[in-house]
Amino acid sequence: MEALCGDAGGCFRLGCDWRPLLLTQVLGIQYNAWNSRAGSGMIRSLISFPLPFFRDGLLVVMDDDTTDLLPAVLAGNAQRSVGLEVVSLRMSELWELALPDPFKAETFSMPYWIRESGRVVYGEDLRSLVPTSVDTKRLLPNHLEISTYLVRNSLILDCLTKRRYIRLLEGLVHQGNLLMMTALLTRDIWRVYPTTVRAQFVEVFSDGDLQENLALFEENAMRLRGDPTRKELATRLVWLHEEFVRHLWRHSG
Amino acid sequence: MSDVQVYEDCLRKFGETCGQLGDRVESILLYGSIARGEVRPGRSDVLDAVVVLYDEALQDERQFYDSLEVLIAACEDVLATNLPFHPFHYFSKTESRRAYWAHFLPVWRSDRHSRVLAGNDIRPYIRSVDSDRQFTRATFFSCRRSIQRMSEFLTGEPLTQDASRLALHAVGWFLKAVPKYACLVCGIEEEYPETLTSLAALFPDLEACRFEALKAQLQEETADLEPAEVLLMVRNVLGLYEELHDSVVAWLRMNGEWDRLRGNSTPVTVDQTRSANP
Repeated sequence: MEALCGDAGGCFRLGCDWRPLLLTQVLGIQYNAWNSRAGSGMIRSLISFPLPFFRDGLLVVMDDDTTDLLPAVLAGNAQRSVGLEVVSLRMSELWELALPDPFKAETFSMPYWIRESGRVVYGEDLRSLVPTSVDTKRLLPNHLEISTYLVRNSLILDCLTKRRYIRLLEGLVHQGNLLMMTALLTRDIWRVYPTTVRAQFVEVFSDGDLQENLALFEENAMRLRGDPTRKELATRLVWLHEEFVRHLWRHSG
Repeated sequence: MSDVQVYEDCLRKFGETCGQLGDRVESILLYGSIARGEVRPGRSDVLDAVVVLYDEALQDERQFYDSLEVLIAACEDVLATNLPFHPFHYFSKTESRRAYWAHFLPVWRSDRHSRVLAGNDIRPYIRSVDSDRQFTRATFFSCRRSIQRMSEFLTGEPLTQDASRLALHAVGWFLKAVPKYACLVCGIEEEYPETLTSLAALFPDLEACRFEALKAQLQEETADLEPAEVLLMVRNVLGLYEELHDSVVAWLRMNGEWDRLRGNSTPVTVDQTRSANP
């Protein structure tokens, strides 16, 4: 099935055959199932949206008189099974979208994408009611803190101990990209893609040390890709990542 | 040798290897079941630990490589035991004083949940960045999306062994983290399993015994669980969160906290933001 998809360049397109399937599944079978349950409410809106650092998504907004949200959550499974991020909540709970989920930094910019690039596939257009982050300035130090906590044990020590150096490299690149994404968000720049984040970051954060650090990281990453068994290159990349994080702390205010 | 003895030997070996760090170590802390003296052989992670190093050990390049080498060796020692294991954490002294994730502060500050293996007792000094407390308080609501993602296990297909293991891991995470966030948003700093008692007191209508039931299921031999039983646990988790969510909102409203929480989370509109394309 050609599902909702965002391509590598960040273009968000709606495949021609996904919509009937979605409407059949969400609005047909499952819609009937939801409404046959006592206390279930009505779907207020379905909004599809791109989420370049994670996967495309579907926002399911239910009426406030939905006493039990679980059927709506479960109804999203057909879409999850084709790789969509599904977020279900009630109308009055839209404010929660502005809260960053610390367990998925990839979704920090989600409310911006819903508001600015979302498409209403059913019901009301609620995009203008989707709030964005409270205070993006506070997000960077929090992200740095969480990233430091998680990356050192579950990525760095784990991969070095198991000698998985390419996996380590890929993980550090991903984590670095996410930190750049958040750093750009503090400057109110949210339309960022994995393929463009680095160029956007370098343009905005013109600090010479930071740029030198990124260049060295890239150079060593290339050498490691050429010889994936070289531990000293892997530990050098870890050092450069740590340096990068220290630079970002200085920019975090 | 008893099974518990294997854990103790592993801990001793870990301490010896970390001893190679010499005066670069400020403190080594243990937390979790070993620190509480509640090891369940074969089930408990062998090493919930954090190594706090003096700043130079992580900020001077030469010292960094030397330190990292010792930390890797310590991990390899533990890995060789084949006990359940995830690598420990490490921080510099300065980081531990200002940028330690608030999520774990209740564990590390508590005598019941942590203890000093070597070096100084730094627990009273561990801090998060200023904004983190508010950030973490709101996590009860933001983690709803991570919990909803767990419904991916409920595709209607039978769970594979790997998927079953991942699902149980997610259920375990839910049980430890979500009640903690629920307590935190209601102003109670508590750690699992005490969080379950606090939940029962906060929300008498919630049937908090269902959390206890989940805990009991996880303490049994989970390898013997049928995939259908695991799926039922996942479904229970999704339902429990939604019920807890509604109870927490009602509690916050009743106690005059709702507007304060929402006030701190007042969103801005997109007109105040801009996008930039490369």
